[in-house]
Amino acid sequence: MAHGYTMAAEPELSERFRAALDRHRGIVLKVAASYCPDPHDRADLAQEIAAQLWHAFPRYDGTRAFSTWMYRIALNVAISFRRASGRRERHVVGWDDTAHDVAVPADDTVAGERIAALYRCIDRLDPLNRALLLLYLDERSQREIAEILGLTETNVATKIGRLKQRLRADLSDSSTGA
Amino acid sequence: MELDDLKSAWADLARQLERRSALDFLQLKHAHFARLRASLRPLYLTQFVSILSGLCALGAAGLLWSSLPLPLHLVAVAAALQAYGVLCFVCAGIVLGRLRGVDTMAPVLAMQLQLARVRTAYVRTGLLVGLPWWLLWVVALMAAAALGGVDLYAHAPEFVWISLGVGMLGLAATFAVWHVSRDPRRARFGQALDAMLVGGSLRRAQAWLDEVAAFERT
Repeated sequence: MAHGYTMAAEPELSERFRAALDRHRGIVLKVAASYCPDPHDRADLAQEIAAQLWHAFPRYDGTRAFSTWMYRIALNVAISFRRASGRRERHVVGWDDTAHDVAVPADDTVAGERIAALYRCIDRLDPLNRALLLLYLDERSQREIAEILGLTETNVATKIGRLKQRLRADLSDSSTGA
Repeated sequence: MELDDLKSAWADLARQLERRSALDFLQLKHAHFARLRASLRPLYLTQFVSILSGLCALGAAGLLWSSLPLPLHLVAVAAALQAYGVLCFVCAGIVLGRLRGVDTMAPVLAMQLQLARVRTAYVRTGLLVGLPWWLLWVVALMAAAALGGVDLYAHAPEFVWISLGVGMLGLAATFAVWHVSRDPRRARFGQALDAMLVGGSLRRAQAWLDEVAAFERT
């Protein structure tokens, strides 16, 4: 695998990459948290995403939004990582506070419960719908979601509509079941 | 709980991740790329082995052709080796070509389809290169003997015919078992066989292709 840059250009490229990554590091963290409940796997995935971003950075087209480019790579890496590491999506992973270590902060139980509910919703989704949910919750525009996932805007709108219906049903089941 | 609460939860989660993250992106080292390259190595290594097998087959065929005139059975041996050599190159070329086509910067659906296709091509070409060995080992033995100055067929035609017969039976049995395993009534047997033959890779790759296509369609 060629790195696509010369050693002489590397320090300047590296600085630009670090600055860009630092501005958008939240994307890496959120994608990793959505696909890996286990903190160790999550850290591995975040590193893997960051490494792939660095590898692809020399080919980044500066005229396009960095966040869109970053989301594409992060989601591609996360889905492949998740599928390679045991195909846990095939089995419904039950809620586990110890696994989702970010979910229940000692200082805010309301926020903790909300995050726990969010994780339960995420856990029920397949990798592709999970990507859609993540982008929807991150309030990305339909145009941007379409560009990231490789769908038409109309298709994105339809899928988001269905996803919302499904989430409402899940949330109502959880509240009646509780 | 409502959808808006999920959005609030998402924002809470983002804040917590930022606060608690022990990740240090500034620690990225080249060593990490070695791990990335290593993850693709088995795929490349298998293609390297395939190309090497192809080269050996073509080399042996070339040596046999250079000894013309040959008896008819050795002409058949040289032709079989040459065909197998070309097959190895074509198969390796297909997988390497698809591997080169995988682009992490592509839209998610496009890239996931590319990956599933690489996996499918890898498993199918693996079978294509592997299955002929039911017969090819006899051909290889005849070629090696011929290059060593011994005409195996002339000395022990029974051995050659019996070995080819056993190989044909093995090949036929493999296809028969595979055909039976495709019967929807024997789905569990089919899954077990896939898992045994190709570690379930082809089935999983195909299932993933179907999943991506279904997500795109519905």
